[in-house]
Amino acid sequence: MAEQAHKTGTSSWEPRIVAFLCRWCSYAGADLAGVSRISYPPTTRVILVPCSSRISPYHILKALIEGADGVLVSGCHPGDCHYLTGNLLARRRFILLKRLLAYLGIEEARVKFSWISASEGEEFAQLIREVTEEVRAIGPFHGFLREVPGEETHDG
Amino acid sequence: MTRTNTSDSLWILPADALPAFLSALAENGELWVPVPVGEGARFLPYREGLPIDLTQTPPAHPAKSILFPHSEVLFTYHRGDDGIPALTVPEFDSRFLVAFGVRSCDLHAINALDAIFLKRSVPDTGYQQRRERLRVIGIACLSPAATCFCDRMGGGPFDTTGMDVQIVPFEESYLFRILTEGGNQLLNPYLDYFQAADEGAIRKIAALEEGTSLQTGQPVDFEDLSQAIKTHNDDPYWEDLANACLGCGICTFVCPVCSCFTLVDEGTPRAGRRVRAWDACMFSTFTKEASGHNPRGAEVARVKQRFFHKFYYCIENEEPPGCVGCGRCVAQCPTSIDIREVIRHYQREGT
Amino acid sequence: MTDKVSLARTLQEVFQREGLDGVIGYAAGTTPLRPRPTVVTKPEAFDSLVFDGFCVQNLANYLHRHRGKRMGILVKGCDRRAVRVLVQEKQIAREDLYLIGIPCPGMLNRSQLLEEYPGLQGDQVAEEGDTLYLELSGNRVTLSRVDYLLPTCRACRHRVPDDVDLLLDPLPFTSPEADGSLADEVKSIAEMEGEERAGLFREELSRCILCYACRNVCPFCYCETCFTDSLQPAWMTPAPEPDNIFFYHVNRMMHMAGRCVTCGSCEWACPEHIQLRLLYGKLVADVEELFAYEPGLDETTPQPLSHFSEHDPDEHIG
Repeated sequence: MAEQAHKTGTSSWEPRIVAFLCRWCSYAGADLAGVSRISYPPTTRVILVPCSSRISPYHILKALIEGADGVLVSGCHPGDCHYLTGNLLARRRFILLKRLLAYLGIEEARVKFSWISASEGEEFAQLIREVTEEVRAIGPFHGFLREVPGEETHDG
Repeated sequence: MTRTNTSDSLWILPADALPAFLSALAENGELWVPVPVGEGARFLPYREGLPIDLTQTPPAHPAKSILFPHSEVLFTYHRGDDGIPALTVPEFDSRFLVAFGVRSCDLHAINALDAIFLKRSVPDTGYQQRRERLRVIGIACLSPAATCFCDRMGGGPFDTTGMDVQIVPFEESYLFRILTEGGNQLLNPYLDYFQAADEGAIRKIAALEEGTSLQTGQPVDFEDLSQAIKTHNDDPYWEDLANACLGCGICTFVCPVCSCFTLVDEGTPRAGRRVRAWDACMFSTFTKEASGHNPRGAEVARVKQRFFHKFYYCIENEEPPGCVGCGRCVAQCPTSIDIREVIRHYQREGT
Repeated sequence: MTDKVSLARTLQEVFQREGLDGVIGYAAGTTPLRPRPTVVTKPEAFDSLVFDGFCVQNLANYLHRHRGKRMGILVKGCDRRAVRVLVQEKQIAREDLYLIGIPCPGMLNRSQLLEEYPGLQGDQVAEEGDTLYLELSGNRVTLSRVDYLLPTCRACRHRVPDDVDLLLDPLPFTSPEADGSLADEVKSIAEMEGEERAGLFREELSRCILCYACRNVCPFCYCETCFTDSLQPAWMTPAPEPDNIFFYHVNRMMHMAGRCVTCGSCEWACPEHIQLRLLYGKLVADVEELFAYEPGLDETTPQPLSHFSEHDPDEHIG
C-alpha cells in the first residue's frame, strides 16, 4: 500500500495503538509488567474493559477511524474467563472480524487479538513489542477505503 | 421553450475537442461534470482524464449536489492550550462555478431549491455563495428515459430554463447555444476551440429539436393536485404504498428537489467539526424526538409526508412544486413506488 | 409469469379458510421487471397478485410490521429460511403465520436484462421451462434462464421452501441445480493480492450513498435504533465518507453472521449496484467453514455468535 512512500520521511513516527484490556487478566498483566520494571514501547493507549467480549467491532473500527494505527484486544485464556464464557463468545466474533477485514484488504496487523493472564507480565511486554513492530512495518493508518494518504475519495 | 433561431449565438465544438475545452475552462473556475460511477453518472469536479457521460438521461444522481453537497463541513473548531475555542469556517472559492451537462429537470429543481435556501428569512450561506457563482452549460435531452415526465411538470427536453448556454449533441460534435450575457462571458475566452455554426448545422439541429418529443400527458395542474391531496389525508391508497415502502433514502437522495438535511458534530471537546449531511423524511428516525416520541412513527405517515410536501405544502407556501418530473425516484425505487402513479391517482378528470 | 388466476384463487381460498388478517405477496409494479410487494386484506383484491422471475425481494422483511396478526405470506426458499431465523430470534410466532411456499425457479437479473435490452417492459418477457422469451417489436428473442439468474440464486441450495403450510405446484419455469459460482467468486477474490482486493472493495463501497436500502430491505435488520442512527454514542455520521461507509458495511456484516440467508435482496435493492453478495457470500462461507452452520435450516440449533465451543479455532489469537 501507499504507506511505504509515506513512511520515508516520517522516521520520527511512532505507531499509536489502542489496547482494550480485560480487567481480570491482561490489564493486570500490564500492571505486572509495570511493577516488574519490564520495559516495552510506549505506543499503547490502554482502555480498561470488563471482559474481551465487551468489545464489539464498533470499538475496534472506531478506534482506527479516530486515529489509532493499530488495535489490540486482549482477554483471558480460554477457560479462565471471570464470567466463564465471555472470551469464548468473543473468540468467535474476533475470528470472523479478522477474516472479513483481511478480505476487505485491511492489513492483518492493524487488528490483533491475544490472551494474556494476570501473571504474564513479560508476555504482555513482549506482545506490545511485537504489535508495535508489526504496526510500524505497515505504517500509519490513513482511514478506510482510501488509496492515497489524506486524499478525499468521495465528493457526494 | 426557446426555439433554435439564427439570432442566437451558435457555436460548434467537435466532440474530440471537448476535453481540451473543459480543461481550459477548469483552469479559471470550478467545473462540475457528469461522470460515470458504477452504472450511474453523478456530478463531480472536473479533472484531466476524468470520463464524462453526456448520454445518461438524466444522470442517476441529481445536480443538486453541486450547490447542496451530500455532506459539507460548516466549520471546524479547535480549543487551544489557553482553553479558548477557535472556529474556522471553510474558505469559499470566489471564481465562477460551472455546471456542465445539466438537464432541464435539474435546473427547474434549482429554482425550487432557491425558494428553500435563498428566499426564506435567512439565506443559506454555503448555498448562496455557490449559487451566485453558478453558470450553467445545460444539455438538451435527445433521448428522454421511459421514466421522464418533465413535460408534465413545466419542463421539456429542449427547455432552456436556468441555462446560460445550451448544448445539443449532434453527429460528432456539440452545438453550443449561448443564451445569456453570462454565457457569453463564460464562452468568449474559449471561442478558439469552436467553429461558427453554418446554416446546414442549424437546420439539422432544428430538425433534431422537432423530432425529439416527450409527450407523457397534460401538464399537471398543481393547484388542483394540491387540493386533491390535501383532502385525502386518510386515503387507503397511502397504506398501499406504505405496505411496500422500505423506508430507505433512495427516492430522496436521487431527488433533485429534496433538500432536508441534518447537522452532526464530530470530534471531542478539544477539536472537531460540524457537518451538514442530507437526511431523508423516509428514514424512521427523521422526526424522532429526544423524548423518544416520533410524530411520524408509522411507515404510512412517512410515505404520505413525501407526497404531501411535494404537492401540497410547497404549493400552499407558494413555492415551486417539489417534483420536476426527472423520474429518478421512479427508476430507482426497489419496490416500484411511482410518483407518476400518485399524480394520476389524485388528478381530477380533465386536467 | 405463473398462472395468475390460479395463484389468486388459491391464496384467496387460503385467506378465507384460515381467517387470515392479510396475505403478503407481490403485485405488479409500474416500472419494468419490478413487482411491488403488497398486503392483500380483502377477498376481492387477490387478483392483483403476481409471481414471476422478478419477485426477488425477501418478503419476510414485511412480517415485522404485522406482528401479532395472523398473516399469510408467500415464501420462496430464502424467504422461508428468513422466516425461520425470525422465529428462532423470537421476532414472530410461527403459529401466527400461514406459509404458502413457492418452489423457487431462481430469480432473474433485472439490471442485466435492462442493460442488454434497454427499454424492455414486463409484458415483453415470458418464462417457460428454462427459457426466457423476449417479444421485441415483432422479433422474438430466446434466452436461457440460467444465463440471467441472479448470482445469489444461481448458487442457491435451498430453492424449495420446507415445512410450509401449503406448497404450491412447481412453476412452469425453472432453472438448473445450484452451482458453486458464488463460492468460486468469493474464493477468487480472496486469492487476489491484498492491494488488488482492497482496490476492488474501495471501488465498490465508495459508491455507497448511505441510503440504507440494503439495511431496510433485509429481514434481519429490525433493530429499533440501528447503530447508524445511535447518537449516544455516535458511532458514525450520515456523511457518505469512506470511514462511515466502511464502518457501516463491516458492522452490518458482523450483525448478519449466522443469520444471512443469501437471499440477495440487499444487492438487488442497492441503487448503486454495489456487489454486496461478495461481502455476504464471504461471511456465509466463513460461518459455514468455521462453525459448520448454515442459517435458517433449523430453529433449535443456536446461532453461532450466541454460542461457542471450547474447540473453536484459535489461530487468530496471537
